[in-house]
Amino acid sequence: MRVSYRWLASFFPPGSLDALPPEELARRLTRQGLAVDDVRPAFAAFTGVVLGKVVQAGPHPNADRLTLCEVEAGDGARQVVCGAPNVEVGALYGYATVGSRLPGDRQIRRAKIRGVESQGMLCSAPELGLDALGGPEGIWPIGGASEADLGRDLRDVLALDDTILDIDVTSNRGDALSHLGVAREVQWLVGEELVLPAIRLVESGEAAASRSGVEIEDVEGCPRYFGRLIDGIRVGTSPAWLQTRLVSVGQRPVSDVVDVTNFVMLELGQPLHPFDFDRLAGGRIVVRRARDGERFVTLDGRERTLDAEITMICDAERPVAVGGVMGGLESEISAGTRTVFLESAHFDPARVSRTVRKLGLPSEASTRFARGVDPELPKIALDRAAALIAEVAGGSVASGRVGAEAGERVERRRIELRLSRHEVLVGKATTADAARTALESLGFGVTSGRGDVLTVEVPSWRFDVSREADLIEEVARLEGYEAVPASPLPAPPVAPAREPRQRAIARLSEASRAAGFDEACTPSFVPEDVLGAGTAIDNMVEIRNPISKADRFLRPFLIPNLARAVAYNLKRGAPRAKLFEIGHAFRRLAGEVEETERLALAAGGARSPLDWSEPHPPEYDFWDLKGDLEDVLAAAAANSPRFSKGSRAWLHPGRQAEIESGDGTALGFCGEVHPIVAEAWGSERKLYVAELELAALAGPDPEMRIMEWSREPAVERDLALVVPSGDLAADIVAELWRSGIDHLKGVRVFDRYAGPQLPEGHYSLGLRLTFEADRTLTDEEVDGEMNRLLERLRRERGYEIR
Amino acid sequence: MIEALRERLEELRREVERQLNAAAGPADVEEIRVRTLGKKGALTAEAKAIGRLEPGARPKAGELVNEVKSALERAIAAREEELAGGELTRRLAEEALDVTLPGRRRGQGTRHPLSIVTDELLDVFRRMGFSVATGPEVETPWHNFEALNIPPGHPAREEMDTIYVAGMERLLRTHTSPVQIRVMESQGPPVRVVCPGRVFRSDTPDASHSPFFHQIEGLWVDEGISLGHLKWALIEFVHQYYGPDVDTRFRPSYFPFTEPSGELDMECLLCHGEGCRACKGSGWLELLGCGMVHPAVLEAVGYDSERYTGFAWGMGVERIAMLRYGVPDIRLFYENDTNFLHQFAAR
Repeated sequence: MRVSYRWLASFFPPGSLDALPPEELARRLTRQGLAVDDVRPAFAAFTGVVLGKVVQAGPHPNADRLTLCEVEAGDGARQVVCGAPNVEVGALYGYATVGSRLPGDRQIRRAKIRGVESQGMLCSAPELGLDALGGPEGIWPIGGASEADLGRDLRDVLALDDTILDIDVTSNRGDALSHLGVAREVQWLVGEELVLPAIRLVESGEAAASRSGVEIEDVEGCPRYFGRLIDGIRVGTSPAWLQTRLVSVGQRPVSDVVDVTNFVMLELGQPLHPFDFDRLAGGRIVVRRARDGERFVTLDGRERTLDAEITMICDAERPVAVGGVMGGLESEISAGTRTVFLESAHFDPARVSRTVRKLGLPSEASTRFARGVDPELPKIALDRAAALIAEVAGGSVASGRVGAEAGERVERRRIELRLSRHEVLVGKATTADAARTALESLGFGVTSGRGDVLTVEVPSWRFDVSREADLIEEVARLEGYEAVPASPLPAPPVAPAREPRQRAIARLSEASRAAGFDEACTPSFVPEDVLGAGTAIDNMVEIRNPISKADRFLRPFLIPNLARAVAYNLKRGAPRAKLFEIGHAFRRLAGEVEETERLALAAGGARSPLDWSEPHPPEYDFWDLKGDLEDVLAAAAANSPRFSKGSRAWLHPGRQAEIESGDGTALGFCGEVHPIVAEAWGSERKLYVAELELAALAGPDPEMRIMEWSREPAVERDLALVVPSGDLAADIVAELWRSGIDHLKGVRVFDRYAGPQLPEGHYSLGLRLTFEADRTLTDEEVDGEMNRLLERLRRERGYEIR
Repeated sequence: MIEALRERLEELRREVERQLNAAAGPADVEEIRVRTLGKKGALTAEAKAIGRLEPGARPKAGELVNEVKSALERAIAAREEELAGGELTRRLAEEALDVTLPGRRRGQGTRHPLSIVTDELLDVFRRMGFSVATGPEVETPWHNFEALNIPPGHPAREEMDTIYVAGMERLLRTHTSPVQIRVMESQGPPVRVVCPGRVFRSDTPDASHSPFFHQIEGLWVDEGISLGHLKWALIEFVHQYYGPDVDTRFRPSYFPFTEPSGELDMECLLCHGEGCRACKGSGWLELLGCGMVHPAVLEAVGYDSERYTGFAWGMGVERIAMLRYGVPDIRLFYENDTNFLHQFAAR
């Protein structure tokens, strides 16, 4: 909300605001809860421009397009050459005298133009920094100015020396979206009573009620609706004072009638709507709910489909406006409008808010109605605006208002304020007098103030105040939060320890980083074709109002966006990229959203960082991934995890595994991304990914007891078994453990070989067995165990020694 | 005869010493040792010859031979050690490296700046007595809005630009406040929690907006908690995190779930209050929103709002990280360029 300092000052007796220059006022308002984001001059600076009148104009002797003018500015006519096509004898203009300085550091000097002397310049609006004003071309006639002001500085005549305060009005304070509303807050600071603008309404002629009428069917959506008729209008341009005032607060002047409605809205806070009365069928207004599916063309030229929750303003035949939101094209004020029907109504905030959302149609009016406009304001604002329209557009106001309302007076809320409660909540005591003064300065009525309790009546414009806590805030903010003493918290003597889950996550993060993965942070959204290969992922959670097509679903797991980030880095030229992320993933499950926390890893590129001693390191591969994963799992105390062949369509069919813990709990999966999917994710290189369920890994700190180990030397035996290709290494190792031979302490795979020396359909697996006992084992003992083992393997599995 | 022996031995000793001096390496010394002291060596021959002497001369002859033998053994051993030492020195010299060449790094991973900042903030609040609680990102309207005193149609609800799940009454939480509700629903007062997490708004991404970002929210509910406690806690936080001399400003504001509500501004870290681009010339940076928990919120979770009061606050992690590390564009956090991520190795 842009607020003009001068406009604000006009609500107080002259001089009241002198002690509060704009910067200071901004600071005080900010401390009071109306945050002022910016303080700036309302208009560009210029000097030496006065109000001048063209008393004579004739052709330039040496140029067809120039006019020779005699300009009177109070001290004798001066000759000015003017290049504009719209010079009018008798009109008043901004006259830049010799020596004046215009915006853009432009200085006006005495000059000869085509051989004729020119003493200064007649100004266009843009030349004075008022780009939004004036006609399409030429100099700017100062409409509504008085000849008595000839020679006066134009800045004074138009009150251009003003400051704008840009206030960030919080959504509860619809009442502060006007100069009156802000003035109510300033009242506390200046300690003077508000002076409301005088309404000089002159009514004449036939009563409005004889030609017009209002009928409210939708009382819930529009509890009060009033109108006035202004006849004999000639729609034109607003006087300069009105234009400059609107421009100073960011409103573009349209026409005098529309400008007045905007002016009164910014002044008092009541949105108004002018209709061309002659276009209202039957001259009547009917306020009703729209019919489902009804269509209507709004002022912006777009056709909208309505529903029964929307309040429509209609004439005797058809809708003419969306209530509280926007007018219609057909009844709009135009140059030919002769009689204006001026609407001033109150609309239900929730209904307007819903309508705006439904139609996607925010406007100055709907913003205010949605936040709540003072229900007692419509009549006052109507009279104010009617009087102003008659004043600036030259019409006459017909006698009386037409309209209807549900209840003459709005019931005011009464709330009890306990001073003791104030002290508890704020931590600082206040007195009954102090609270009363503060509340009354904001327009609250304090009807009784006995002992601890004040009975407070809430003014009609304060929709946001409904409970005692709201009143406590009002008093606290006026007294100033800086006055509240800071009190140390009654904290427990020992600060809480890190939660087990947080500790577990920290461990996983640390292990992932130790394995060379950088922590990443990727979006929660994925496109429908998340695998990029036309392969759908089932049960993804869809977004009703996605920001873009690429954001239509919630990520079913973290890998797609994480792998894309790896691909992005590789594509950019990074020799390797290893990323991990801890985050939430989403699936639909039985009509609900199943949300799980995950740890995902993704890697690609070189196995190791660039190193001069190994200029061409091998590419990261499945075994690197599995090793990294095993390190991470070890940190989560998920020892001896089991990897079994996986079958996800978007991973390499032969290079993927499902992972479960030793006790069979599913932990996650890993694998090489299918080349088609990797390409869709932007990578020409192989991508390796893994995703783990945090729930299975981030439990409380596991109990542990160290195990004893032998200090006797271990005995090792190597074994190369020839086994059928279909036999999995893990099963063979498990078979060894199951064999029941004594003193076996370790089995490690040290070689895998397949080649022509071996029987068809077989491979050789090299295993290193470690034997240990609490005494020195003899070779004979170990050999005996080995023979038993080999015998068993031959008998049970048919394995041969290579 | 003894004299002749003495001379021969003396001659042998001189000859061996001469040869030892000429020896170029341990191998030469070994050869000399074999030639002299070996089974067929010169001195061994002399020792064997003693037996052939007359018995009276034998002791003296043996004494002489042993004398020379031990002298030569010492000389050989000394020369051997001397030469071997030289060899080691030479070998070590050959093994010298250019230590300015880069080391072989394993490439340890880095933490994401948002995690770094989150952990730092949580650490400060833990020390002040808060525990960490988390909750789901897909929420019910009740937890995200109604319980927080934001009924349907409330203007604040429209301003939140909520992202909704299709086909069910679920939404992506617009703030971490629903975690407060979940905590209070699950336990009675006192409550002292901080809630970090990802939140969502229907914003088109640009340099300062993202449809998802991260917040930390805090809640302290107990008997007798006041705005004064809130003020102390948050100013203390600023002093702990940014330094004891950083100025703060506490001003009224509005949030539907707090009453009274406020915002805490902190002296601009870049210009120290002078006014610059980062603070839009005001000298202040908006740091967090806060307030006394609205009685309607306490009532929504079944707390006695007369007996218990509390304060809550919320702040954006990205904003704090952007200021702390000079990150000009919020999208850099989510791009995951390793050129960006690797800069946080020391954090």
